[in-house]
Amino acid sequence: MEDRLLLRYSRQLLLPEIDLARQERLLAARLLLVGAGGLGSPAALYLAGCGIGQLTICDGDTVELSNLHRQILHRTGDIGRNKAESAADTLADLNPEIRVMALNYRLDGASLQEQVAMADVVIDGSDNFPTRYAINAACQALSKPLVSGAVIGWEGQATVFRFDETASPCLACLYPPDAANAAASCSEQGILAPVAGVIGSLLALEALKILLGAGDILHSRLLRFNAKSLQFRISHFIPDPQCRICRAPQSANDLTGDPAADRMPG
Amino acid sequence: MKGKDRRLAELRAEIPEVTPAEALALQQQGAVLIDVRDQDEIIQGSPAGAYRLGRSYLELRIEEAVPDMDRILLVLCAGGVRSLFAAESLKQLGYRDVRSVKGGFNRWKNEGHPFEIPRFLKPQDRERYARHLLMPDVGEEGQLKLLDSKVLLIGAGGLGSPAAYYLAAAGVGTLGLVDHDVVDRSNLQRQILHTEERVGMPKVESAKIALQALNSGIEVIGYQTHLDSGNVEDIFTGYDVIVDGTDNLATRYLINDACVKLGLPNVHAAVYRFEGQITVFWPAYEKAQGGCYRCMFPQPPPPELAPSCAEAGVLGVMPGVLGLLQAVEVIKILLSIGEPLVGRQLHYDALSSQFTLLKTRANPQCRYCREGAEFPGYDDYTQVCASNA
Repeated sequence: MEDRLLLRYSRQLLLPEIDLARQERLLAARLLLVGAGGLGSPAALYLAGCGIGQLTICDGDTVELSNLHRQILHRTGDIGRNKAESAADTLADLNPEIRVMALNYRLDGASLQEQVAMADVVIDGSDNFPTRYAINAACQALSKPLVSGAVIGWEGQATVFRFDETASPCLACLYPPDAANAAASCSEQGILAPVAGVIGSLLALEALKILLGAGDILHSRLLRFNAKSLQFRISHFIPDPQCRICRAPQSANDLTGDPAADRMPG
Repeated sequence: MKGKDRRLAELRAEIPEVTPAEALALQQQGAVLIDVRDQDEIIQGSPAGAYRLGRSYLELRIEEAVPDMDRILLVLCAGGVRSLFAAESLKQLGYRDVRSVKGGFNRWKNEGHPFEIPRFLKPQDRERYARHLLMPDVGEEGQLKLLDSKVLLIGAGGLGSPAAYYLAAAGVGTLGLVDHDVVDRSNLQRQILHTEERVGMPKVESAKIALQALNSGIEVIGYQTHLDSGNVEDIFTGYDVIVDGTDNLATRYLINDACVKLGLPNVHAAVYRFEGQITVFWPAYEKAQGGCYRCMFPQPPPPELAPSCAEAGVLGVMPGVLGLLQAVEVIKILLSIGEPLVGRQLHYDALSSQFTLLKTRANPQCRYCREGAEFPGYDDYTQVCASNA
């Protein structure tokens, strides 16, 4: 590794979990981030900072003034620009040593499949259920790990679907498509700015744990955050045998090891 | 009879009406007065202490604002007609005692009852903070409060970067930043306020550029200096909340002591490798007791037990998570919403994905924060780490 990279990443290279080989692994990694908004902003900044080799960011929307209360990838001067392109500029300012690819359109169908196929990890920072289900289905079909988060008001949640491992439940097991239609969105209910930041940075952390092969990943577990009490709760979920998307075979050994609904004492 | 008149007659039979004088008396006994007029009317004046929820969002916001269905609701409009329709709708939501104020705000004002001229956000700020305005417990009033607030961050580094970014984005009106250092390339893996181009620039200057590019409507004040006992009170005075994002023990003691003396909340976080912790030290807080930093660590450790001066490894996203949690706590404190982490400490172990809340207790013998303690003065600790590690 060249000296200037050793200097740039020196603080994380002091960690026992990140030796040169693991840093090389990060530098060779390809990560797909769908959505350069509230969740994508902190996730992309921290992933770029630590040297993920290729970040592909896609977003078909343009930057609006009302985004800037939480979407720190963009600046007031970026209003009206495509979000993926605005994001790519901000990330290049932080770390010009990585490759950032901006896709300025909404991924669907073949384009989604193509991008998911090229990624080592996918982060879903989208803001609507049709996109979430499409990403879920593509990652499931192509066996790619998916890190997913959502926020509203004072609350947020995060989880990981390890489609690269066997018997992972999927988003549709957690939220059957019929129930999700009633879900509210930020544009209706509002969002406290740093709540999006907390969840977005936790998504980056889970993606990094997957890439580094370090630690216990939030797989088959749903992390829920309540900012008013600052409580985090973790509950387990299992594949739905009737799931229309994954129909994952139930494997009792894998899934019922820890039946405790809440890991963390209140 | 026209439909409107027939309907009004029905409503008058169903909804009890009160005079403004009766409404004021009930409000003083705990009833909720709700002004349902539009903003262009309210801007001319509205009863003191009224909830201004807006007619068009009334049903969507009321339960968040008034969860207790047994509280008396007093609905007020300009003349006492629209309030009847609104009152009926609130009854249908389940509120048991809903009354309409006869004669509305016109009569309220004519009879000389107290009213105020509410402040409103500028139009571009309504747009910028639209997602906060949708939150019933933040709303316009909360956003104005944030814009009036002053928060001081010690350290524009790993913790300070995300905290400052999100507090600026959220519209905290004045952000102070204390940091003596300049941007180094090795900072950029975690200090997202800074950029490659600004390597070598003072961090407070670099931070100011980033924060004002995001939100030029706030003021950013940089203090490019070391905190010491001679300047700490001058710098802290006038701020509402202090955010401790330092990486050395000597400064942590100084921040603690000044916060205790000045009665300021100290939002404190620390990161070590894949672990982080956050708490709020605020002995002056009335609703919970948790003591101060010195209740937990009365003195810095002797050199042989102190942590190494050598820098520990850190992955950028760890101070990211903790700095963001600090920003959450700051906003809760500024808006008096939720339970601040006073008397509690959150510990996060990222490798095991475990979050643990621990109780913290005030030390009744604490030299600094015990009841009636006379301020013992500042200690300028020069070095609180084991140098040859």
